[in-house]
Amino acid sequence: MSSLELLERRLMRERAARKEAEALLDQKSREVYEANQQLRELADHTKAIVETAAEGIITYDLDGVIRSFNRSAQRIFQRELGEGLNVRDLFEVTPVNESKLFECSIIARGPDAADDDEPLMPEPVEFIGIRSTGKTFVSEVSISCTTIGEVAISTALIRDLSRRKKLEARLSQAQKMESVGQLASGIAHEINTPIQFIGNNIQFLQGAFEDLGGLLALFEQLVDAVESGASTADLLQSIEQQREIADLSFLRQEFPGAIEQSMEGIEHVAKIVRAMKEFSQPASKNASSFDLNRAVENALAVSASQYRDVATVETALDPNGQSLIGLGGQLNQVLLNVISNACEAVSEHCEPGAGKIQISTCFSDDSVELRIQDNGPGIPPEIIDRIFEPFFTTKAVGTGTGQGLAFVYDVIVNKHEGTILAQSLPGQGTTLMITLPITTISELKRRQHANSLA
Amino acid sequence: MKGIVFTELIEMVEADLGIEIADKMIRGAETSNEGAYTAVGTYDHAELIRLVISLSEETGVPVSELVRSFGRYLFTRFHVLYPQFFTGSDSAIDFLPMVETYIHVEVRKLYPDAELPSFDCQSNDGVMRMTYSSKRPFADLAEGLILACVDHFKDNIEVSRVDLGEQDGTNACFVLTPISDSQTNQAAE
Repeated sequence: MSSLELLERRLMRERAARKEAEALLDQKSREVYEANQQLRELADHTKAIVETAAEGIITYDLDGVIRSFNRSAQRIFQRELGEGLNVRDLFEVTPVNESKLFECSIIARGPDAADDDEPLMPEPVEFIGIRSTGKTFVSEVSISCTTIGEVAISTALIRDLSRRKKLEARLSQAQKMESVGQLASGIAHEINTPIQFIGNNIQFLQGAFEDLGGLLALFEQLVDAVESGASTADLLQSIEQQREIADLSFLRQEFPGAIEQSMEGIEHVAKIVRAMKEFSQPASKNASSFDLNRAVENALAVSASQYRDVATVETALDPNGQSLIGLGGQLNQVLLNVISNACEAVSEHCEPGAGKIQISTCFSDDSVELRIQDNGPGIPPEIIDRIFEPFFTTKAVGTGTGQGLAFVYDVIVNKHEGTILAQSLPGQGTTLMITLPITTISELKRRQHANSLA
Repeated sequence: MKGIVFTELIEMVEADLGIEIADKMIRGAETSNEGAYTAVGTYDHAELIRLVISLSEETGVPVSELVRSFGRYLFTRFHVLYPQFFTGSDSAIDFLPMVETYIHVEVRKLYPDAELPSFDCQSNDGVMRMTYSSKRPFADLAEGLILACVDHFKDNIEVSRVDLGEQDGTNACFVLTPISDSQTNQAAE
């Protein structure tokens, strides 16, 4: 073959190869375009999800600089723009809770993290949020993290709990009113009985005083007659008659008893009124000194009508008790709730009067254990893990809200960093063990001072 | 197999042996596209084998020797076309493990469906064992590339080859042993 023919063949091959390359380029361009379209749709889809999410979604880097701030975050924090701000500007940050904002970043790992069994997401945490107006609100924040390229990014989901807190406060108040309502008739009976015999004794004393009044008047006349030298025979006879009518020896016998009973009745009423007064104190948001033993006695006084006919109550309160720091109103409600539960348990299970409720306290240097034990039916093992769940109840619809023990759990565990444990076997009663830390006033002040310095 | 292998083979033959031999090679292989390969295309590796066999028949050079020579040529072309892959490497011992860990990774980004051979590198006391595994019988090509790599970095390394498995060129182990100065002097004497 001549050189020309060889070159022509080579040229034809080159042309064909070029055309194929152009066709491939065309195809690749289309693929790139379609891939870009898909990416754009995915980005739009993701952006729409983020922007329309009910929760606020913000992302920020290791320094806290906010990279994205969705519409709900704008609404929650009442800010039009959040990008560029620092996440610390959005919450009341203390040295204690600041670490939670960046906890995920500290343990952020590389691309292989998806294979790890350990979760990268801590539990949701409550933060005090700050709106642009400076007004604060309670928020629940869930933080997760990832790495984009080599940059660790945290994503925070923010829920404004203002409405929920209001509802919880209303529910708590409704619970309190429910307890007060339930107790009201019992307390009325508790007060009415001693008032009855106080009234009877006063009536007796009043009648006796009328008789004694007549006798005293005769004795005065006798004194006048003796002084004036007049005859006293008639007067003496009248005095004798009046003495018989008044029955002095009887009065001498009965007066002390009537007075003592009246004093006891008054003291009983005063005790109940004092207890109700302490219980009905407005719930304080600040912790203060709390006498647990006294609170147990008050709770028993207030709820006496509930257990009087169904159980005997024995107390073994540690005389070495010291005051602990707590939310008094809520702790009082806790005591009412657990005593009420014990009463209901024994009234369902035991013969009238055969029920037994034992309440004891035991103080150590840094904590106190409160035990409430009843000889009720016990708690079945399949539900014992659920008794502290909100709205969980074994009662019929309309007879129980299932909030009593959930409230107890929240106050003891969440608000006082205590513990609560229920031990029970079917047919063998239930023991509720509550442990509360004892924080002295000086310790509380030390912590408050440390927080204020932060 | 990517088209660049085909286009480079044809260009090597045209440059070293002339366009007439190249044309005969193509015609003798009876490929589906009559040799119209583009570097960015993808073609059946069997066509490369047919081209090499056809070239062997034209030149009388054994197939394995042709493929090994082509491997050497291909390395020099890769160095010209993709200099970024060689940055930061000072020796064949440094560079060769990166074929699997870096170069093939980058190739798959552009060509996700590329069927590439795998190279498993293990070093012990300065001696590197590089195991080649592929569905295609191109251990000779790999050998040529490795020898050219050693020459490129001017390393004093002896390369030996052990065929593994079916002994059909799909599986081989290349042992790269540094030659000491005393051994070099002995060899010179």
